[in-house]
Amino acid sequence: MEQYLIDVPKYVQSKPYTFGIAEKPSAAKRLAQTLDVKAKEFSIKVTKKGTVLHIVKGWLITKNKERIVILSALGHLFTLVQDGSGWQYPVYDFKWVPISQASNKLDQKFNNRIEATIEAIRQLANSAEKYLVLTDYDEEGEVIGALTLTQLVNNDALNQTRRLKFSSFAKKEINNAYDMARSKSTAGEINLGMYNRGLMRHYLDWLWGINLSRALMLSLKNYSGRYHTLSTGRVQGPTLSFVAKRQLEIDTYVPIPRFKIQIILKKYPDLAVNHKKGFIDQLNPAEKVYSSIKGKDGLIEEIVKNKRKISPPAPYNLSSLQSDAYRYHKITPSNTLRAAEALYLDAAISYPRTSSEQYPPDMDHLEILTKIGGRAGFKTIVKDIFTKNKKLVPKIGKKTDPAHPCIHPTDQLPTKLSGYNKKIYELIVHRYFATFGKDAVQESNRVNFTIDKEEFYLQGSRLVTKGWRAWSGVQGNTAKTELPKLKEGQTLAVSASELIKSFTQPAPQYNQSSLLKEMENNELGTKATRSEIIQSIINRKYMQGDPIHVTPIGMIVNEVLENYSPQVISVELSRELERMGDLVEQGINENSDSIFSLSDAIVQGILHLHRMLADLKSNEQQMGSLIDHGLRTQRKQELIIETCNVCNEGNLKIIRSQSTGKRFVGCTLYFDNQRCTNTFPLPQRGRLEKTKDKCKADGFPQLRVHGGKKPWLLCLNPECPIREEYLKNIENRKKESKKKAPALKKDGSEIKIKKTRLKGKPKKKPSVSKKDQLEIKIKKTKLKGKVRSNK
Amino acid sequence: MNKCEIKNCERDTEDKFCTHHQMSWEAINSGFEEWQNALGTDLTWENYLIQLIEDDAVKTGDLAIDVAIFELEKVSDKKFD
Repeated sequence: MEQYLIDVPKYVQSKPYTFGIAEKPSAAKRLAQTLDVKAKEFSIKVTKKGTVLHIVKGWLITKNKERIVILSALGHLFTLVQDGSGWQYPVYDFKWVPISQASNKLDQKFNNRIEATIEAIRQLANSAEKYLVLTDYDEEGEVIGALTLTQLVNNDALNQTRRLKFSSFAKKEINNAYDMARSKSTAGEINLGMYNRGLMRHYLDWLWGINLSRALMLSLKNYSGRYHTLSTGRVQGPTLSFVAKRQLEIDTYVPIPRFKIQIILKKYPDLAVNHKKGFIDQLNPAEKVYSSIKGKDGLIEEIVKNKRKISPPAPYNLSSLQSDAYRYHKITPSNTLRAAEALYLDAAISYPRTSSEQYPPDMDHLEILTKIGGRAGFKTIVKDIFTKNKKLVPKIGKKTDPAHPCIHPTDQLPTKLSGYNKKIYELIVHRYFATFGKDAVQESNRVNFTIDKEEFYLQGSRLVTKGWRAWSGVQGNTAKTELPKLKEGQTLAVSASELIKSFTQPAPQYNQSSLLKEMENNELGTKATRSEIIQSIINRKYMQGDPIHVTPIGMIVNEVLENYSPQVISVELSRELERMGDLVEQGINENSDSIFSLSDAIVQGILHLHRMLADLKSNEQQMGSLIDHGLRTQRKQELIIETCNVCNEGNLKIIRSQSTGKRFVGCTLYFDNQRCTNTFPLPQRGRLEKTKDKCKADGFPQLRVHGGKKPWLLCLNPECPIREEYLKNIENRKKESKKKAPALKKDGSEIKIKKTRLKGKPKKKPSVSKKDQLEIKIKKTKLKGKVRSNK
Repeated sequence: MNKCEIKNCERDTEDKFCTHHQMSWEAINSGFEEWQNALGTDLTWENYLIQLIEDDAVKTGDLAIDVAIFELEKVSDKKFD
């Protein structure tokens, strides 16, 4: 047992007290200050073997004469690991451990913080009489709260635990949640169904992830002796398969020709004219149409007008917010969630991880609108809402969520707004405004006209009544397609006509927003985890870019699973597991009246997994061969930049010199009897990434160099003016920093900085400018000449 | 086990092409009929392949281009013979 010294202020420890556990330090602070205006912050010094690990902050509050000590977790404090040793599969034994013990990837400072937080919670929670869970009210929040107590106190602790269930940090809501928790109502109890479902998800996801990922990695290791981090998972597998399938459709696509008659009207050259049939499939009939209309004018036969009412949109839930944030601002779903969570912690909006499209029944719209109306930019709209609505009855949608209402602004304005947070907050507020609006009315016009019996039409639309669109910010903007005033019988003079050959197109590639939608439609993952799963597939380098395309190794991993264990990427299995989660939450068995427990779910999950792993094990050789091939292709692709600008035959490739070990860019034809000796120098430090963009100054390819504080763009041409300027700027900055005025003491005297060199640290070499370094390198490389392909 | 006949593919296969290149070959084959239907039967196999590879307006998939190049090389070899 490790020896910890936990220094808690005495006034905090005096009994009796209730121990409250929050999810994050910022949430603990807000909750404490909301429940008690006189909330007092205190510090706990946690020392281990004489060394201070970390100083943990906590809050002491008094609410209705109840003393509550609040500490916060740091998200999850515990994680699952293999119970036992060995790097093989299948692995079905697991246990919870502090995350500081599970991974050596976390930095020591963060590890110390986790360790100190756990020990501080252990000390204070074990002396408490009762417990209060103050985490976000969802599956993860329930797991963080309840698991921390069961791991650090005991299982009985949950019997003395009450729970604050809230959907925003608004003062009224937090206080109501506290009153509910202190009442005898079941609404103030911990949601054990949700907790069990959360545990089920953790267990199955861990089992899936560790076993399937090991199956992939070991197949490669046993085939080629190489190690490469590969992973797949319960939701990751099917998600990657959507993109891979679409990618394969695009990569094998053969476009088919089709024809279009393009007409330009003399008076209205910008209007798009369409033939009644749209595209014509064959050249002969298209030519006939074209020759019959060539040089002739059109005659308007009919103008058809239609009015259509467009109802206000439903309030946002997480997926519609993520979709709009991408559509209007190109903010990725994971960044949208991050921004929404920051706004929630700032008490400016309600809890964002929700699927509901409905406001809470007791929501005080008058108060919220009045408060928001105080903010510049919203004032006029709020005034307009009050003028046009005698009663404030907003539009709601059909979707519900058992734990939370829709995403809506609260009566507290955000403290600071910038960047993504500002854009997301504005989207939410404008959507909230829009739900109070009347229907918008849109008139669509279709002008049918003929040119020598061939039928064409113009299509346009205009907003007759703006309605809710006037209050909905960017969401209210519509494309301008209004037609000019035209009359039936009027002649439309044609200035030019052309027969255009075009080609069919493959289905579009996914972007992050459309992929999220696809996951939602297929009930893959949860509203809270979808964007994180997409991000983790991108981080694993299985997908990249926007729109998303699958990398060679991503395609191979998908192919391996598709060929040798299709259940892993099966949407149906993932859905079945979700249904099992529903049963665990409700405690019902579909086939009998008995309870469907968490262990039943784990057993069923393991049975599925066991079959999949057996399939993979029996095909290990083929899997290893495919993965090895995919990795080789990916490596090649990463190294090749583009066609050589000198010989136009070979490819420019990142090469490492065999003799000097230095890297540079050279033409692949060098290896073919030195047919091309084109080379470019490269910086020797930092990770290099290919970019599509060419240098604006000289059109040479560019590489993004990751190293130092910010990644920077490097033009391959050593004489590029932008590159020279960049290097000059660095030199100037260095010179300026040397010239900087000396620091002064309070009395005005100069602070003398003693320059010392650490023992054993070598003296710096005389400085050579980066440009000079590059020139030296290229000279050396050319002189030595020995290069090898970096396979 | 053979290697896929497409240059630089190197994937193991029991047939002439690997699965993905086989799919592309089938798309190219059926596409030729549709091209002839659209443009007329004057269109030759060689011209069709050239357009798939070289016409910037034709957004042929990367794997389909590999197969088109392979097929075009076969046509050229036959002419040369």
